[in-house]
Amino acid sequence: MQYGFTGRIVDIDLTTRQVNDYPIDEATLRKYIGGSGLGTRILYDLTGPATDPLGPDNVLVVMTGPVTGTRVPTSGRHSVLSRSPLTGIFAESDVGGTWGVMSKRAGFDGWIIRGRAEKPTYLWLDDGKVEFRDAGHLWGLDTYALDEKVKAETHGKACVMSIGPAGEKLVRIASIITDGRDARAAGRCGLGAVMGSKNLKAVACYGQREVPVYDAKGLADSIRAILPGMVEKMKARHLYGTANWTLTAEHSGDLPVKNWRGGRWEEGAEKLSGPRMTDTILTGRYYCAACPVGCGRVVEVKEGPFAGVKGAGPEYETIGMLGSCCEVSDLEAVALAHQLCNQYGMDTISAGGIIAFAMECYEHGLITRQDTCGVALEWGCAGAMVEMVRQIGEQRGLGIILGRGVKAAAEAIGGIATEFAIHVKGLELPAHDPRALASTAVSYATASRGACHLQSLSYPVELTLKMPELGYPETLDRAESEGKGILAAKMQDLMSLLDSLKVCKFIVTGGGGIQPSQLVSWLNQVTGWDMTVDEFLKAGERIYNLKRLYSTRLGISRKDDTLPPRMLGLPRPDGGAAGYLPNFGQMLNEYYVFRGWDELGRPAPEKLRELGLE
Amino acid sequence: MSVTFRFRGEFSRFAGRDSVILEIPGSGPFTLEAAITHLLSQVSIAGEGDAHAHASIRSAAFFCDGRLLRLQDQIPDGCMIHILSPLAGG
Repeated sequence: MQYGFTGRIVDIDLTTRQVNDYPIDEATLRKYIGGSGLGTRILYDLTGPATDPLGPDNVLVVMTGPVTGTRVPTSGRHSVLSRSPLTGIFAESDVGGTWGVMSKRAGFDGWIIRGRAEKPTYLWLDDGKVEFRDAGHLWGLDTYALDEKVKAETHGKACVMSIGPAGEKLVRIASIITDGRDARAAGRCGLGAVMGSKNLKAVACYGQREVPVYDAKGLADSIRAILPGMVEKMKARHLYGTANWTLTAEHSGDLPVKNWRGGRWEEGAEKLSGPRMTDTILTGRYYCAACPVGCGRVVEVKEGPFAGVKGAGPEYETIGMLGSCCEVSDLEAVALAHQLCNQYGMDTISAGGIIAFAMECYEHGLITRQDTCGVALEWGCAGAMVEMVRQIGEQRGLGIILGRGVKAAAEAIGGIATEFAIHVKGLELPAHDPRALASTAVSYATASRGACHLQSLSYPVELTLKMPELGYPETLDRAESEGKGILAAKMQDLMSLLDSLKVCKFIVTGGGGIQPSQLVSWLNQVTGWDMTVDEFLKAGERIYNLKRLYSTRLGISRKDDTLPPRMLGLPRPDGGAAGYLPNFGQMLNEYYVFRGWDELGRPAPEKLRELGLE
Repeated sequence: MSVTFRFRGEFSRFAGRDSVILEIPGSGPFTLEAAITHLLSQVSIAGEGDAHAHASIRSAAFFCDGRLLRLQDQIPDGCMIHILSPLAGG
């Protein structure tokens, strides 16, 4: 028996309705850990340059990690990977909630979905069994309504992963939603459209199996010793959620304002802040499985123009993109837009970036009221922002073009619209400004899925986070470029490991203070392995390099590892990062050298040999 | 020397106000660490004596004129220090 794993990954072909086991040996598990790492290995082996992201030959890989379903704090997570229909390159999304735990209790470490069902279908994974079910009557339902229906048809305590109308209509920013009204999302890269292209509306699972743990007592003792201090350090995140960052982001110049052209925006940020949410629309807090913190928001808006909100509340990223980036400071409007995105099944980050882009196009006369079905798409207009979410989700009006993503939308609109399209490799920027925190520039440019803050999460080290085991006993100057390429690479490797174990990044970067040696200790206690910190970090480097190999195989190189011109040449006008631009070229060169990649950004043969990837 | 502390977000709750102006006795210059120690000795924090509130303020993000301050940094006379959440969003 392999501790920490159920020992079963299923390979489900929707075309033939065949279900096979996909065997993985222990040596491979040690090399790739699980979750994101193992999922990347599988994706690399099963897809390639000829794979159509929306074709039956693409695969959707859903993976848990070795600690998922154990008592390791924040370990109730899973990864979803595929080739992205939005960017055309490597895609992955890390998801919280309860799905990961339930998948393992049902007897599955992960599953691979390939092919295309002849008609709308959903899968019912019940205690080791896989059942294909008709979803014709569910097609068209939003994710909240669908969750209730599928539970009624399967098991009241089943976990449901589903797409909404956006995924069905192959909207390129479509997401996959789990946990119904609590709405945890595989948000980025258009993974919902991959599911839609396969005629797969939902997957439900339920089981009661235990995850085998090698040293259960040692693990329990360790967690008992660490947990109280960790919870105390993260108390503000429990009280005010990730939205608590909004004020710091505004003050430091990290908050996107007016499609990344603005600077100071203090009054608006106050209206969208975590404490303001707590005072107004908050009705409860949501805990992902095995999480002692509870940073998720539960909100309700009962009356007014944005009434009808009930359930998951907006995170910082949503506030930054659907709020400040559109200059919308109405918290209830942002909460409604957030809920609509969840119900349609769409990424809130991309949606916000696209709507801000459209507002700038409208300002410059590139689109008019004729295009928007009569909507005056003006900065700060909360109603217009919400209406654009509806148009994208329902694929009508301007939403048809915007639903392709900001890069394709700019090409369709033409003219100088590409100036306003803020993305890296086709993925819209999340709500952190590389002109405020230097390492973010190189982190975004080299992230394997496009503009992503989570694949590196280097910027906390430029604020208040110390990572002594990675060589950072003190924090770094946020405006300094030297050393930031190395920081970005080290943090990418570490984040790859967190995504592979399947624990929340916040226990490291969000106040939890956990260091790599503690993570290895938990991994060994769960699996019975004798992994050293060096071997663990090397696995992280291997995983990140394999993601890069996936990209370089598609032709990605230095030409793509860049930022939008606005980030490289246009400083913020005022506020906490006024006048600053990162020395991007210096950081990228440093990054390549540290990584052992050549000047075009390709992993060198000797590096691949060192990592066992030749 | 005089220092204005501006409490933002959760810290305005702990302090029960938005800002405070403190006169730190002595000729200085003072480090941020010394100023915070003085702050905590002078200002009634909500749940005074509450370890969490004090520990939270000590680990906050401190900004002055857009610059992130370290505890050992010297602070100028008359400066305004913003006390903000250190927990990065995501």
